[in-house]
Amino acid sequence: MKPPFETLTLLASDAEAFVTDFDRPGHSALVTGPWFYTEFDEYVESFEDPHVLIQAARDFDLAAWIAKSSAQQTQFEDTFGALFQAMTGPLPDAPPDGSSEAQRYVHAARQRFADEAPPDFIKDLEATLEDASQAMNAPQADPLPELLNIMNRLQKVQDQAESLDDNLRTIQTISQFFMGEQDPCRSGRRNRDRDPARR
Amino acid sequence: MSKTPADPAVETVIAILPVDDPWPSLAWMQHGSYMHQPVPLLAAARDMALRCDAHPISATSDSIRFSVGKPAKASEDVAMMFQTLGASTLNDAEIAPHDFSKAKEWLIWWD
Repeated sequence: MKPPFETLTLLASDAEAFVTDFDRPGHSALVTGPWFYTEFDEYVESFEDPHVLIQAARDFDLAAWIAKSSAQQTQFEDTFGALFQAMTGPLPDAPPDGSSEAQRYVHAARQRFADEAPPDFIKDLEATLEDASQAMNAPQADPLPELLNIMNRLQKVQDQAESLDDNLRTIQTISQFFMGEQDPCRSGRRNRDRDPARR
Repeated sequence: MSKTPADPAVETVIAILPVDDPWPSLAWMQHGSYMHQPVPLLAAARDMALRCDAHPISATSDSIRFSVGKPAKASEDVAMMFQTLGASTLNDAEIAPHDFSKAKEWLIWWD
């Protein structure tokens, strides 16, 4: 499928001059690449009207969004930090109110994400946390299979949480920890591997 | 003007986009990994155009290169904005508070 705009194919050596000198009223030139068409095909079914996005961007309160997103990211990191501790550190005795550790985290997650997170995300997080708590509380169990299982489920939670993009790295960090990577704070560069413009 | 992102002998696609200004051109790059939050990204591109005379000049599936007409006075704000948008590196540096106020280009990766 062709993208809904005009394209030209040039050698890269000519593209720079073309873009530099491009002058057509009402149009702008942008260098993309020969991989463009394939990836365009992959996403075209979800293509949103560019003009709608542009108009929305004109009216968008960027400063307010950044402030909210930063606060939201902190909340997520706090919560998943608690999850990390629950899954890797010693669990305390039962809380005074009698609820389980997992229930406490689920309760906190519900409070923090009630307005932003999709229902499935909370549901899966709740189940994953509950199982994580049980796995860590089982003194005779070999924890590795359970942790691998939880890692896989975290991956599913991650897939469901695409709208919560800023927090995916936190989940990835947890997953990567269980995979034994040396530096769990850095995500992979898989996209770059397929990109001819990689540095 | 920046160098194009590909080898000089490699074919490169030029998108001729029906927009008056360069910043809205990203609305057509919806296959990019940077498009998880398209409206904030476009708003950021608009903001950068107004504040720094910065314009997208190339876009791959996971990177955007801007030419920068005016140095960024508050480069940390710019870094934070792109970090909030999920970017990972800017001009080969971790996207964290970092002085790139004299940069004439921003190459931003979403890994």
